Amino acid sequence: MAPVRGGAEDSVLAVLAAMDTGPDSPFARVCTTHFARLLLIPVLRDAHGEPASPAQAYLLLTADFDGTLEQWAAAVATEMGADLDRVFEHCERYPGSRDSAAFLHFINEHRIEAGFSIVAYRASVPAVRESLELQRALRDFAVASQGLGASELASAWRERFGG
Amino acid sequence: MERQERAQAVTIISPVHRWWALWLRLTWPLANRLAVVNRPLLRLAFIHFAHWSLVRRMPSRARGADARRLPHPYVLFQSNFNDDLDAYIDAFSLVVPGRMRAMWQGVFGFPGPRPVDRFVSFVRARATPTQYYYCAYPEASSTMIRAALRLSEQHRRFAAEAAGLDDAAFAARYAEFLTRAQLLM
Repeated sequence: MAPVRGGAEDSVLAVLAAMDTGPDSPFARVCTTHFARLLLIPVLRDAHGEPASPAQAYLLLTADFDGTLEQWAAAVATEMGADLDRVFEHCERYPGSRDSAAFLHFINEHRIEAGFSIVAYRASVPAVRESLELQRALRDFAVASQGLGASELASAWRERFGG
Repeated sequence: MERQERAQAVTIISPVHRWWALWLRLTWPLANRLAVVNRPLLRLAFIHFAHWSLVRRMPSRARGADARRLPHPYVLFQSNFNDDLDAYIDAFSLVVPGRMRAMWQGVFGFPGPRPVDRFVSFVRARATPTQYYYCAYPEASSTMIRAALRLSEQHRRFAAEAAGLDDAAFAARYAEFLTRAQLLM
């Protein structure tokens, strides 16, 4: 979570609106990323719901990923550094992603550690995708193999799944 | 809050009393380790990942002159979940109200988890719109993924068992596998 330079809020929103999404998302190139989000916090609120002083906007990036922060940050710098730079260049003291040490220092300094987490499954992105693919294949096989005799069933299984 | 096929994001950043920040800091490490705390939350099958954090200064881990103390400690809640935000909050309110109190009681303006309408209004008023969201497997719900991972494990065991069987024995084992696995497909 990083403070946005005064007056740059609209530029941040414009860059975020222009970023590719879905399979073309820059985050798709960082193949250890499960989820990521970017959002502008226009202002923090005080205890009464009023804008806290001094008024300050923040850019929040959150991500769930496999491996360590260092590994993920290095992959981000390599695979989508230019995309991230276009967003974070509007933040105070952002050094850019080309200087990997400075980039990692910025990420570390602005990192907010999770205090309490709910994690529904502990599996890497490739493992999740492979499991979903296998699930589809087994479901299709179960439907297609209904009524087959023992030898046809065994043969169809070995053809589809090996073994 | 935005929709992206099945997975969605909600983000809340809200000020808390200082004594509550201390409570959270002291209890979270224990809560993370205790199955009795986690298990009912994991049973809320629509959650992929959810995290609660505390922010007290900005930048959050800077020290000395580089850091600016925020006027209050803030709780940052961010979750990736399936389907509808109101249903999500409903479930929190109805299934785990005690845990919601233990998490949100010291947040300014927290109305309690029940009645649920007030809790929904509280969350909606504090949710910050997500301008950009990415999910690596947008076609899958959390329930589908958990089932797929369990099925994968069962398939691995079945494939190892079935490798040396003749056709008749294979067909019998396959029928058993299918019976066990059909709810995961």
